Amino acid sequence: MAGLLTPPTPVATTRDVASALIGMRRTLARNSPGGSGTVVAFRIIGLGLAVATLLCGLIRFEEPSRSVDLVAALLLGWLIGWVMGPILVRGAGVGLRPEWFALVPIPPRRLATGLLGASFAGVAPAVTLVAFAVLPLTAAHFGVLPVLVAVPAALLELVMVVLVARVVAAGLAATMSSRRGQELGGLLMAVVIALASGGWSLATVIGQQLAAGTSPALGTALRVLPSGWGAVAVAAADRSDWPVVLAALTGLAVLSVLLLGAWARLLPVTMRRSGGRAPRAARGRTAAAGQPAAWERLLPASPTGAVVAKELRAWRRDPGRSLLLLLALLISGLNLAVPALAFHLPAGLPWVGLAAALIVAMGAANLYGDDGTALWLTRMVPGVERADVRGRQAAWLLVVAPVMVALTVSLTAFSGQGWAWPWVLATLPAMLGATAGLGVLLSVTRPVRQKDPNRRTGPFDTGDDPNAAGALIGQQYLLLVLAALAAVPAATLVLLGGLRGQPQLDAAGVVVGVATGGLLFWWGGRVAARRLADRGAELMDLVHVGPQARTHRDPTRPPPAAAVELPRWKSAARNTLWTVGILLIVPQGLVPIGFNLFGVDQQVKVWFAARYLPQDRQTLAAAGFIAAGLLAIWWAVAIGRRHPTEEGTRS
Amino acid sequence: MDHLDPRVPRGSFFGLVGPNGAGKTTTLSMAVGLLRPDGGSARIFGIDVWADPVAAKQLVGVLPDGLALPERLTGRELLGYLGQLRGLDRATVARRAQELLQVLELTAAEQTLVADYSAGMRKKITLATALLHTPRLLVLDEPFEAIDPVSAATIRVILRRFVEAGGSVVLSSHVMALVEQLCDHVGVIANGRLAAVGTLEEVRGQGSLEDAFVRLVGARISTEGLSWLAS
Repeated sequence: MAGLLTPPTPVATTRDVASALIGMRRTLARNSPGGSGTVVAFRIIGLGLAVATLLCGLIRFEEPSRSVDLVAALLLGWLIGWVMGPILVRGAGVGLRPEWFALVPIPPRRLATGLLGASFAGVAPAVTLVAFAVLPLTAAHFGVLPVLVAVPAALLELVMVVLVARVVAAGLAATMSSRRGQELGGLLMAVVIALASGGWSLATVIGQQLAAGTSPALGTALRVLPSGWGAVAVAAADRSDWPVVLAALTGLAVLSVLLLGAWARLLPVTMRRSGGRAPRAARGRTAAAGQPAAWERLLPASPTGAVVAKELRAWRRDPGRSLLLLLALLISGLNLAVPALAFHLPAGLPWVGLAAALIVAMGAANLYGDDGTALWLTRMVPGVERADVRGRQAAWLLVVAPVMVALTVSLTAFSGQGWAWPWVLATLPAMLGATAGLGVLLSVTRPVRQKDPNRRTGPFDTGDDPNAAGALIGQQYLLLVLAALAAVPAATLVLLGGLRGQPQLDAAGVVVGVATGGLLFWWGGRVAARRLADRGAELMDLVHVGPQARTHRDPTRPPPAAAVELPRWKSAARNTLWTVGILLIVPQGLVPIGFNLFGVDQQVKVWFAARYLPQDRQTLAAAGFIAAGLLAIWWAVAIGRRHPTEEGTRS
Repeated sequence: MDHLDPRVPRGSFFGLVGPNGAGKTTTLSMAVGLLRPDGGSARIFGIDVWADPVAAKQLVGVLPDGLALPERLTGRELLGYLGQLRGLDRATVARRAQELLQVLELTAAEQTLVADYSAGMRKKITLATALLHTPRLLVLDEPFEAIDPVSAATIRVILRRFVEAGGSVVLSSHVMALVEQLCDHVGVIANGRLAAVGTLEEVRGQGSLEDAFVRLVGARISTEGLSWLAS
């Protein structure tokens, strides 16, 4: 009947769709709220990287094949960046989400084409194009014809890269619609985060091989991947091998068409995703009627025992928690174990477990915030605050301590570094105890509101509030630093023992380490339990509504001012300074110093600027980088502090 | 909240109604001690919720609206956890959990985690947590929202029996017909103030509760515009 009453709406053409979507994207970019600072920072960093990539095109190699390798590696780097970027800054971007168009009658292929057009309306493709100009620039070394081949090759590579990123994102979104898919997506994200933080070690190994030209297999791999086809075409043009030029360029074009098709097929799946979750059976045996599980009977039949059992179940069933452990192991492994093995530095191995223990500590910084409003249940049961805090502490140690102890003991034994034993035995217990003690304390005193667990769409989905995200990261690093500081007294004794050659000081160090951990566990839990009992209502407010709680819940008062927002440029400057600061301190400062300390081969230079200086000046230069990095971070913090509204909400 | 003073008589079935955002949830949260009021007090059977929270919380069972639960437990595990937390012995908890799950028709979802429950199932398991320790007062925020008609009828029977046995129930809702059918006392909240309170008859007067409600909150029903929709 509807058709009789109103004329049917005409279906939009590809051109209409594309222009509407491009317009929509522009509008979104104009109105972009909150996370725009991050986006601007990404653009600034991206442009810097693009210019650096372009400049690589000026390098002249003796053998032309080496420059082809280099360009292929650079383009692969950009491809990986395009795939990882959206996963890392989910929610911060201003891209169009396909699910918005679920109810609009547009055929998927037309929608995909339109969305592709809209993808090019952003800044990122322009920045990438600057980077991909490295292809014609390199080709200029060879002659005019290679340049003529390089220009379409660069454009085709750009289209291909954007499409790969879209297909991966759509594929992820499609898997994320089920809980198992969410876990898979979370796993992928953990790997991406770990690569972002520790990929330098792999990149160093690869870069080293490329620079030395010692691994022909690596060069072949780089050319076989589509990101290398453009470089292959240029090299073939230099040899006047026209069939290969044609094959490479056609290959890129065909691949793009295939990717567009794949995207169009994935889009409807992505758009269906709001249609509920597939329920899944609980992992691990669930409690049958009246029968506690065997392991549960080992726990005391007390309120504390109940909390421990609940927490252990969460560890086993919540992918967020197991991913946290995995992430800690991956980051620590990539940053320490891979370089230790690749550069023959067995002295690095004993620290892998300690570093992992520090990283996993970050997960204990917001226990109550992570559970969200589920706190109401604890609040409504009389007098269980102590049991709740102690149970969480015990469960944390029961899960984390065995992994870290096993890792540390096995790697220390494997490395054959006998001197390391007192160090690890003294510091690890202090760190673990401090994490369990100060973690609950921080979680109670400074909870950061997260999206409620039942509303999350994946293990890393903590909400779209950039302020909360920032506060959480600050909190996590705070606990990491505190846990590291807790190991200082014990480590000092071991250091003295080593300097004076007094093994009894080593033993004292181990005792002090265990005592520090035990004391912090006990004290942190005690204060946290008291505070949870005294100020539970305020804590409930904070995890439910956030820092604006007091005014917000009263409908008779005006709503609170919107969450603090730095002006765009300030926020961008702050984020850029943070990134630059960390890059200066870690890879440009600490890593070269560490390399020198452990006597890494001077040939290992890659992108560590200090390594290009004479050996006696390297440490000084690295110290200079660290100082500059600290300055940048201090500046970044100062930008946030000086903003007046920021202080208003802190009170 | 501004000087809200709804007195709920012992053994009564009290309905709190109000438009969206009027402050029903906040009022109930403050009454049971989940949120701390800026001033004033809340008493449960004469016990001040803030002065003696342990005694007060033993008497009350709460069903909040839209709050999270320990999501990675099954329904039975959740009840077992809560019972142990409240110091009930395992056998009692197991027996009560079995009955609650059966009555509320949650036994079919034995292997399902609370995280995967539907909205209605969440309501039901939360109601079970509120009933587990035999409270004397039930405070229920929108207990019938998203609940299927059969379960809703079951819950109505449970609540009526609870009141007949001497318990008290406070529930909030924006479905007037439901409040009219179930409750003997009514409070109307608008803009954080109590616009009316008393027995159902006192509040609704001659007309229906809905008429009284629309009058009290000063709403106007819009009938203009959208002419093209009916053309």
